[in-house]
Amino acid sequence: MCVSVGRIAALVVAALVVAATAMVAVSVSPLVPTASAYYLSNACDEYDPQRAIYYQCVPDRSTFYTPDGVNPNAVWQGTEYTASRTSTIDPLDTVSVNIYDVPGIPPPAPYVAGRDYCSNPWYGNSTYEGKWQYTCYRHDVCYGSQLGRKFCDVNFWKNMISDCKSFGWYNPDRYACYVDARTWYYGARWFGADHYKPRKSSFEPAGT
Amino acid sequence: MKVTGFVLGLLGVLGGYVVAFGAWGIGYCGDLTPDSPAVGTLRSDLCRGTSGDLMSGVVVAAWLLAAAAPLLGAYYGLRKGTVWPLAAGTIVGAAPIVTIAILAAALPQG
Repeated sequence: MCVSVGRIAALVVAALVVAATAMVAVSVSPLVPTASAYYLSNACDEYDPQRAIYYQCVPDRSTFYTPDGVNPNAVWQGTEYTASRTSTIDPLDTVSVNIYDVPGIPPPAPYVAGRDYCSNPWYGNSTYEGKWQYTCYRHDVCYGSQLGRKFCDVNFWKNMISDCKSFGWYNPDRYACYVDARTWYYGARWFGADHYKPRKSSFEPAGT
Repeated sequence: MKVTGFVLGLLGVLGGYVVAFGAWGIGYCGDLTPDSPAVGTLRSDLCRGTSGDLMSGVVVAAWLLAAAAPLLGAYYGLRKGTVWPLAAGTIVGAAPIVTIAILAAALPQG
């Protein structure tokens, strides 16, 4: 019994040594891009070697910079194409006013699980949009509430990335999910401007 | 000519995707945004329901043509020993997707 336990322990130690040696060999190999080593050192940035895409964490490590280099946590509500809310601020500060409540815009419809809030064309489908339904809902609510188009889009990115991270770092789906998030983020940034409109009723966003 | 045909085909794939998914799908139809077209409008007809699916098919066909036509042009150009098929293939292949991009920008959103 003692012999077999000792043998198992030796095997475990040997396996750990082999694994550690392999990790060191891989990390110093010239075939592995430098960014991969950086990922190991700060345990936050990630590198997709298959597509040669580098995802850099923001300083507080809560998410990645957007593909066009914006720190989502540094974009405040109201950035870009925001509704005028001068009338919402009480100059005498006699009434407690939330400056993010835009007057005249009805509150959003509640989220309903099972509805499609992403409403993308079939040829632009993402394998991962099932994970992004609530994120799409929040993006729709943000646009409808006129919280700032840039603010809405960078948070769209941040939330998609957060959803993608439910795949483990070892899972290739994680990086495929990141790539689709890039595409959707760029799509919203480049082509969403004409659709940044205030909500008209409390039935929006309705989903399909 | 092989390389030129390949590069133009690749540009067709990328440019076609930007027009199909971006300019048409998001820019005109309002996909990924809360801006659904109102029922009964031209935008609703072109983006939703059966007619919307048909239009999506046209958009994808234009995208595929933009990608494939330069390659076909390069193939025939190599066989005939002239560049005209490549030039013609590129122009003919690009025309539909460029038309869709123009429509996406020019059609009324209402």
